[in-house]
Amino acid sequence: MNRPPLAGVRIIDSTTVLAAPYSMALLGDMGADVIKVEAHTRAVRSEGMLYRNEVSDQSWNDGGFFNVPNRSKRGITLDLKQPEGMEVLRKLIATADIFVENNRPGANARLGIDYDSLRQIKPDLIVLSNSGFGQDGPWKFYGGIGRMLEPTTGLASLTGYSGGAPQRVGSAYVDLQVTYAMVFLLMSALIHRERTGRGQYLDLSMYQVGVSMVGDAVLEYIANGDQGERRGDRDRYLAPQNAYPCRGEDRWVVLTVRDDAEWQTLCRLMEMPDIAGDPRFADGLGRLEHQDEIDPLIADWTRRHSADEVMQLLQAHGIPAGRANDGRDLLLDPQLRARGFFEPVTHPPAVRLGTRVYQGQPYRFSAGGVGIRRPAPMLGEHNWEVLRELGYDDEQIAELERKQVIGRAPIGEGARREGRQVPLDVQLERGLIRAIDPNFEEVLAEAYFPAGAGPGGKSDPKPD
Amino acid sequence: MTQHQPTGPLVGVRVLEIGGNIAGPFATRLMAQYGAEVIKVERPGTGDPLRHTGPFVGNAPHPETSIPFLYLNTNKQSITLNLASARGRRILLDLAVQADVVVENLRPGTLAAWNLDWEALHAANPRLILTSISSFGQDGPYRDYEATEVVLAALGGIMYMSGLYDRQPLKHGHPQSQFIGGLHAAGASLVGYFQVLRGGEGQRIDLSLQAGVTSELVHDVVLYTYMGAVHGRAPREGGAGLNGAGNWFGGLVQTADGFVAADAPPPGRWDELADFLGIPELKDERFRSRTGRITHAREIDALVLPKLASLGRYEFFNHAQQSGWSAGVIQTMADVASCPQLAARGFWTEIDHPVAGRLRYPADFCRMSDSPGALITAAPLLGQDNERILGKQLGYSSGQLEALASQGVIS
Repeated sequence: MNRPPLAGVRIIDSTTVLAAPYSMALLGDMGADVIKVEAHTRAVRSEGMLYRNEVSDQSWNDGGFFNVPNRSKRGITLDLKQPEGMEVLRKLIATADIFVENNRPGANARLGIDYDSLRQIKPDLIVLSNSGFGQDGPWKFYGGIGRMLEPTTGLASLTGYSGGAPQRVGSAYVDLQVTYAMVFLLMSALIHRERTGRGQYLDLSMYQVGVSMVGDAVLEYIANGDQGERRGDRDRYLAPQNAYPCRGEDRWVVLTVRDDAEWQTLCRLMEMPDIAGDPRFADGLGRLEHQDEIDPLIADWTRRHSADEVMQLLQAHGIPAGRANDGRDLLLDPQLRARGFFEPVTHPPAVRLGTRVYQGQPYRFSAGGVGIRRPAPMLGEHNWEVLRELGYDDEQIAELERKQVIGRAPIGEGARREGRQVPLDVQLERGLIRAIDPNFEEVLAEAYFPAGAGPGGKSDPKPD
Repeated sequence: MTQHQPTGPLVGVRVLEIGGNIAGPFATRLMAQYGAEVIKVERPGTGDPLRHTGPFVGNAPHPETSIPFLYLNTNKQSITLNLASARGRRILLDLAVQADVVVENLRPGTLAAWNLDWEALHAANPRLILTSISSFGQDGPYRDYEATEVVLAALGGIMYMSGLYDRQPLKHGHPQSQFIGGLHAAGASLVGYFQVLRGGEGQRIDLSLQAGVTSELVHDVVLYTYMGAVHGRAPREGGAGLNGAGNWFGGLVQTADGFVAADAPPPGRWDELADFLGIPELKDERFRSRTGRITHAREIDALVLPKLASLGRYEFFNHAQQSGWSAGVIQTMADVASCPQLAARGFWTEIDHPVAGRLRYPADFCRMSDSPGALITAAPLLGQDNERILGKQLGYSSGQLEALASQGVIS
């Protein structure tokens, strides 16, 4: 593999949950040396999405909700309440280019690790604070949970079935917006430092990112007083457009007709000459006005075909159409597979995950060097490696372990386990999950691991 | 026209934008907000297709008043260039020699048809980053598929698992796949440029909007790869809160004056909700665990929803947030426009536009202590910078510019 674009950049990642950790993982995929600093003394690891939904004797190491956004990092644990823990962090900061945190505003100042303190250690350091609403203002202490921000940013007010209540789409959507925005912002700050030699402090507000993502809708209100309306899957200007049921259980295809020629083509493919000649549907405005009449006609046709058949037929005739991919379809989607979007990653033998498939990066770099470099670290996995790099000798590290400044298993508050795993049959009954595929391991092996090779995958970390 | 005086971390970074619509312009808007010099290369006569997309200021269609165009093109310059002509191609290559990044979101193969593919641009400027944004990527079986927002939401997978249990899959009511693509393109372009600053070669970055959508689905993909479970739309009837994370509540529920997103208080603090709402029956052992709340969602709904319907939405939101519970409030665009937090953060900037007039724009989402960005100029008029960029920057004489205009190269 070629030299990764961010080789030589070191990031200290003290963040939790999803938005910021996932951003640091993407930077790790691109070659940054990301060191995650965790507290084994606090319950900070998100333990959702356990392997096979079963609690094990080290569930903190096999939760997918941790392992996806923390790949391509090394991990150490530090008890920052002990002076020796803070000492390690300061030594680490002195070697870093970027420090990222997502504590409540003001918390890091009380710990003595705010920007003004840290720049004393490393004058050109870049520090990014991620918070729900920013470091000041009347809402500064309000929590920034991605799925709670989607309504607050205004996006949910535009989303929902026609005539119905606002809805959210996705699971933690604003978190991901922030994940990607943070890559851009940190790269901007790195470029500034590269040219001026100066670091700086970045105060990122998740809420403001989210509002910027619907900025045109806000501007429309400011300019015209229009609040927008909920249209389900339909379009404001083009009709017909919707999701239509297909053959099979809960299978759907979407399509958009963009002009009169596409409408005529669709009518021909559906073998409905009467509609093709119906003057009510002849132009775009007419179709927009009469979509309630058009949609059932299209649905009558789509029900007789698989979503794939409809998609391929319409696409062959230049009409935008797509199957509504579910979680399994995504992993088997021919395009995502051809692009190598999902990457197999082999976990160390000490965790029971073996080789898993993870979503990679949505972009490819022609010079290469980009990809998942290693699985998410087990708790404290790199304590010894990183402390040795900082100049600690083995005796000192062992002493830190004895004093529980560092550790490989949760202690104290961190060891408290809540029964958070909702049984899969309950989730199925409630509709939170739609189906369970008992053969999923074989399905994935067939798609991602060449026959006979077994789940091998990328067992070695890629060269840095 | 006011001369652009950029500030921010990207001052001095030179960017060309080719294509238009949303994803490419959002990427370059972000760069321009933080100081980059962005030149939009538009088609003579019609310009960026987004100029013709509504809504328009005052609902009066005009190529300079499209609201999405105005939002997505602040701080930029505009030139017009017919890239299908030999002279237009030559001028683009001259501009590419002086550029650091080209962001394009034309259909795959379009640049190649104009002899402006990666090889040609790289030969002209070996340090150039070319970021190509397309619906599905520059290769693969869907490369030439047609896409609209709903198609990307469907094939990207976010749609299937969104919406109500017994209704059809639901997409965002806003072109989020394009905006997400813009974020990715902006970040990836700078990663490539950073490597060039450190002595690396230029390269091509190939972004798929479909993969950008799938990349968001952290929960959904891992549900299958770890458990073989397929994420559903939620909930079945009852359990208004079961929308999303499955932790009653957590969904969007009705109050007296709109909706809130409400969640169970943090572990061990369930009773606080019962006390705030004045519903002692909620302090039931069966409701204290997550599994219990999901199993008994209908009963909790029956207790809680009538009470919430009598509260004001900000009353609930502020109380919940001040108590340290996670909560959201469904804000309309009017609410966002008058939000006290956004005002306190200096989120808005008022700027003039010669046709659209003076408007208050959403601007900054991150404060930078050493190199703050700023929104300085409104979206450019079509071709407003032809003379300055082609004349002063590339050295064409006024006679040559007139000839280019009469040949249809720039107008």
